[in-house]
Amino acid sequence: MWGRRKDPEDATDAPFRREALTHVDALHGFARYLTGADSDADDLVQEAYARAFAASKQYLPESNLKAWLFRILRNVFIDRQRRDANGPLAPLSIDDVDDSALASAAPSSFDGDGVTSSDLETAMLALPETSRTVILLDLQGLEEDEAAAVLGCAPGTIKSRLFRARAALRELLKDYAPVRRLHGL
Amino acid sequence: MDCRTTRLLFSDAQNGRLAPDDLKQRQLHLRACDPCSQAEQSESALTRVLRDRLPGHPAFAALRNRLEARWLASPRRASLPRPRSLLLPIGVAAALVLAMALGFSMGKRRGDPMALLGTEAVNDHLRMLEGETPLQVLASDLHQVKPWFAGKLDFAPPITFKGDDDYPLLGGQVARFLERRVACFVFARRLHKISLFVVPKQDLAGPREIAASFATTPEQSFASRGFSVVSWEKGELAYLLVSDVNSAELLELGRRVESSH
Repeated sequence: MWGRRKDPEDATDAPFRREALTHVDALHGFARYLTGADSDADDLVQEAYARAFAASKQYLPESNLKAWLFRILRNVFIDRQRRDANGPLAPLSIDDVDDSALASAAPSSFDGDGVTSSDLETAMLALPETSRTVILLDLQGLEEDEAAAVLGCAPGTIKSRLFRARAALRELLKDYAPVRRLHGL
Repeated sequence: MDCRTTRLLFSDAQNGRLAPDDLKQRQLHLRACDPCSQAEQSESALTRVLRDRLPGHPAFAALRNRLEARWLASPRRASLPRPRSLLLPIGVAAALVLAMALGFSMGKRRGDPMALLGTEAVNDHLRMLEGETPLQVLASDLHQVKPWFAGKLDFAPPITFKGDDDYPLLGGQVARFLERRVACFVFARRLHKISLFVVPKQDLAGPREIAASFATTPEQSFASRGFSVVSWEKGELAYLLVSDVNSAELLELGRRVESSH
């Protein structure tokens, strides 16, 4: 979905870089949830920008720059995981989960009471990477086709991926709040 | 519209991406279907929690500075990336050399080292105010806040000031200060919030110069981007208070924190 920029010289100019760098907070947040560590997130963001500026001819000015940067950052992350033979195994993909009944079953209620920032972050990091990513991309306001480009999947699968990811997150969070309520915290 | 479609379209409905007809069909279904209505409430609660409480983890000033130095500097000055661990000391050393070349005396006046600390303190304080790094422990009781830091830092912040009617304690969080995990206690003063950063001195960039700039008691304040900053040291730790309250009120909190040790 991202084509070539019309004028390659524009790709290396300061305004383009400046605009790209305005997304550093969003990129760092995304990287932090991919890696789970600030130092790794810093490295990931730096490499993503280096790769983005090297490949900036491929960016179309009318497309979503943030989404383009997100895709590059996730590709850097995946490349690093592949290179790291001793790294952690890839978590179970969201696509491996049988969810055929999820979208029609009677839902368990969730009100969010008692869920702290720390709980939320822990639960997010416990999700499979693709689940974390689709939730974060939705929070960032990416359109389905943009999120699909980041995840390397068909746009038509984004809705169900997001639905399953959010359901899994709610289930994880339900493990936290009742314990806290029970102890009056 | 069936139950499955209604639930799958939650995000599109929340983000205004549904066509009017689809939106209407979905609303009709929600009114008639209790399980889907309940699911909608759970989805809304999750969205609210994610937007309000998920830490955003924005980039720290050091990363911003590195990226800007590399990508927004003139081409002749742009260079290949260096190991992250080397960059901060190199940058600080360069700043110190430059400051000394310009005739600043670090030991006599609050020059660039403290300005660097003030900038970082204000940035971290702003992250807290803007909710990018929400308080990770909400408590008015110091006995809940201090133990919360155990296991999250490699030092124990020796704060004993419990807060009082003038400066109630709101909570705490682990903050990143010059790429170091540090303790941040948050107090209130009327409607203002005050951050107290507790930082191991040895980890501060340019330790000798900065250490020389610290007073041993909270007796002086300086301004950074309109915020008041008060700093002092005790033992192996440095303390920085930052807020938009006036400097006298910030110094008073500093004295209460210090005198309760």
